[in-house]
Amino acid sequence: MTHIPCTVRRFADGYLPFVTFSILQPPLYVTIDALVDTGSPFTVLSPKDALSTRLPLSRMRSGPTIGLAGCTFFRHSIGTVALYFRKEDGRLLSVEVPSMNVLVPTKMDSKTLEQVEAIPSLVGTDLLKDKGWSLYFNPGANRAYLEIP
Amino acid sequence: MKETQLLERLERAQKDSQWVSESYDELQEKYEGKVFAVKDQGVVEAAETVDDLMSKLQARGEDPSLFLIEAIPPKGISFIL
Repeated sequence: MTHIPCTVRRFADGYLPFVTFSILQPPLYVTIDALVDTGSPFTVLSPKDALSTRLPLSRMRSGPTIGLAGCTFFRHSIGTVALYFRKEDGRLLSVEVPSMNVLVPTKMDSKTLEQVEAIPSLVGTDLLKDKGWSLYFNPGANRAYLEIP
Repeated sequence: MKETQLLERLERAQKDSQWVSESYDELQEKYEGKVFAVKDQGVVEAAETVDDLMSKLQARGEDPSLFLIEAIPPKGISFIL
């Protein structure tokens, strides 16, 4: 077993586990700090992180709709994407997400975009289940990691 | 990109993530309602929107992919994700 270290990050009123990964796939050149969210069945890029790669969200308004943090989004698939993680031993780990999703607000007005900009990207249970990863999260000890087989 | 460069980028981003968490109150005070770019445990640029932030970074000749792009929720807003 080895680990991918997570950061126990303050977010709004609480502390949550975040994991850092890079995507190096045109047009997605980005390093992201994503919330490991065992309440999410999907791994998704947030509107903020998608916009930071200049993805044209206004032309991606399709897919199933989902609710998150009081807002409604299209879950738009952008296909297979490779994510790169740094393991605790300093080595690189590459994993493929067969169907990466982007959260696209159903309303694209400036007020909505402002409301959703603090929502982070999410590593969901789809990735944990597919790769056999588990999450250790102890906010009291400021320690979190993904355990990988 | 070479593997060593990518590992350095990831390690730096992990440190930046920790710094954002530790500096949360100060960052919220300064950048509430804005998006900002973090690198080497400091805020390099901030803007009202992600588009504006990317334009500012590119105008400085910076590669946006080298930054963590962050936004802190306004005070008084809680999230149940």
